[in-house]
Amino acid sequence: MLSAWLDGAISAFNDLFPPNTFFNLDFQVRGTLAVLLVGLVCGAVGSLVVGNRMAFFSDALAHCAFAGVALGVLVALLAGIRDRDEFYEWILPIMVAFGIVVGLLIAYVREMTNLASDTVIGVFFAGAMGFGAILLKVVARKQYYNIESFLFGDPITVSSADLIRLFFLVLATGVFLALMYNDFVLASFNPSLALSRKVRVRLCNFTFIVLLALIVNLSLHTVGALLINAMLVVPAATAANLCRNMRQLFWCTVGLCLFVGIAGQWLSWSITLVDATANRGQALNLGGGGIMVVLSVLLFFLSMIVGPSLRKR
Amino acid sequence: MTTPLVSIRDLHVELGGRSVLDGVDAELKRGQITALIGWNGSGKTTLLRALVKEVPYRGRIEFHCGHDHRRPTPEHVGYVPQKLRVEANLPLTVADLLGLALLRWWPLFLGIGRRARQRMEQLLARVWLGSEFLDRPVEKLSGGELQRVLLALALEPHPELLLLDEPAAGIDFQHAEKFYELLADLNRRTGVTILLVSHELSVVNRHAHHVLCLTDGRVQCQGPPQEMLTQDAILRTFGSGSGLYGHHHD
Repeated sequence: MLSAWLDGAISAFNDLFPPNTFFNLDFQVRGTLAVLLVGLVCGAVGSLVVGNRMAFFSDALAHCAFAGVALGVLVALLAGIRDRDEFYEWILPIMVAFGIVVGLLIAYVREMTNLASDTVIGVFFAGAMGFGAILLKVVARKQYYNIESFLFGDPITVSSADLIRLFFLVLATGVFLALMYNDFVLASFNPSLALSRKVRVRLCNFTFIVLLALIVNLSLHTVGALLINAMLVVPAATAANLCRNMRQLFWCTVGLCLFVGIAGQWLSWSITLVDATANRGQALNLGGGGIMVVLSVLLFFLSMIVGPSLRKR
Repeated sequence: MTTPLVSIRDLHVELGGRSVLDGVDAELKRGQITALIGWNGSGKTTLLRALVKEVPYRGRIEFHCGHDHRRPTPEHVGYVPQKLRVEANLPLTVADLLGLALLRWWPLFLGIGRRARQRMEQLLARVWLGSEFLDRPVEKLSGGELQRVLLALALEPHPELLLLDEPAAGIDFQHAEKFYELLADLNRRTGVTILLVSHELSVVNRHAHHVLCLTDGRVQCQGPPQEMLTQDAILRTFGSGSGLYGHHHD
């Protein structure tokens, strides 16, 4: 019902603009809304990922989604599903649940053993990729699932149902931050100190892992498994070069994520390459997810140049 | 006779399949400074972690203050860690650090209000630091300044027990001395009970009321510093080459 309402609202919005302009195209409006929502969640948790040294962890979660997709495809095939749209409805919850379970298992094994974090994450990373690779040929058959879209994402392929899921993800992220931001950051500096301040350290850590798994898996359609980690890490790293305190860091990361999201979406619309070889004259659009990431990396290098003087002021 | 604030009975801790504390029995007397000494790896920090319920343990830790201590609360236990694990380049200021711990239902990113800032200034004054420290990055603080900031935090609101994990490690002598004087002054003025992990035996000798020596996760000896820090006892705990050495100043 919400999807139908959103479809109608977007269609009414499209009608306000001249034909074939950016906002007249429903997929562009959906794509813009998707990058705004993904930018908000990635920006809001980016400083937590960087501050808590979880860049490799979030990268592993993104790659584990590959195994989640494979498992979803397998389950859907065994259940006799053949319709492509129906396939996606089956894959998504399995992929999300798989991501959450893997994230929690990594945290649990890390807690129960003396192994280094990187080692534990590396083992799960390898296991999930291996499992995904076993089923690669099944997954890669395009009638079941578009593997390119999974790896690199494309905001313009986002549906109204995806947008609604992203909207609820923004709400969940907001609730987490309102209740646990201070506790989670304090616990990342020293768990004993946090415990003495009545912080539920384990609850904070496990809740954040569940949230991160949701963010990574639900954002895949927009930015892709290979690029989502860049959205989580690079804007926060850029903001850390520019800001003088944690309050600035949070808002600057959110601002940078939104900026690169919107800029990437707009650039992918306005820049087209003309294929001069095979299909002469055919216009080729650039990948929106890729542009966002390249843009954020460029901003990171710029921040390395201007950051020191900004932080001194 | 001084009554105990905390009684530790037959405390065992195992981490990663290895016994770290093996039947520790001890009492922390109300209003006293107890120094916890021993080799690295003898279980000193683990004992503090057990007291804040960070590690699972067998045995009993009883707080005689009429409160349920299934979870430590800032009103009863203040903790000063040896160091913070802050990611390099993270722009964490002193105000941020205090805000994260003190602002319970107000996420830090929404800002620090005037009243909260005034409260932070008062906290810093308690540990002889000025309000200009609030906007200073934590990474730019000296070891002694950071320890005083962490002490200021641990002292809020007014805990009955203060736990300090090697607070002077890596700090030069003058700053360490100033820090210990501050602790002794707080103990005298407020009567706060202090458990302090320290390797500096001369400081322990001067400021502690009670000494607890740990060796391989067991209490090897305990008592007043005058009895515990004899040359024989120090040799038993730390081995040859150990002793009390005076510091000389020009």
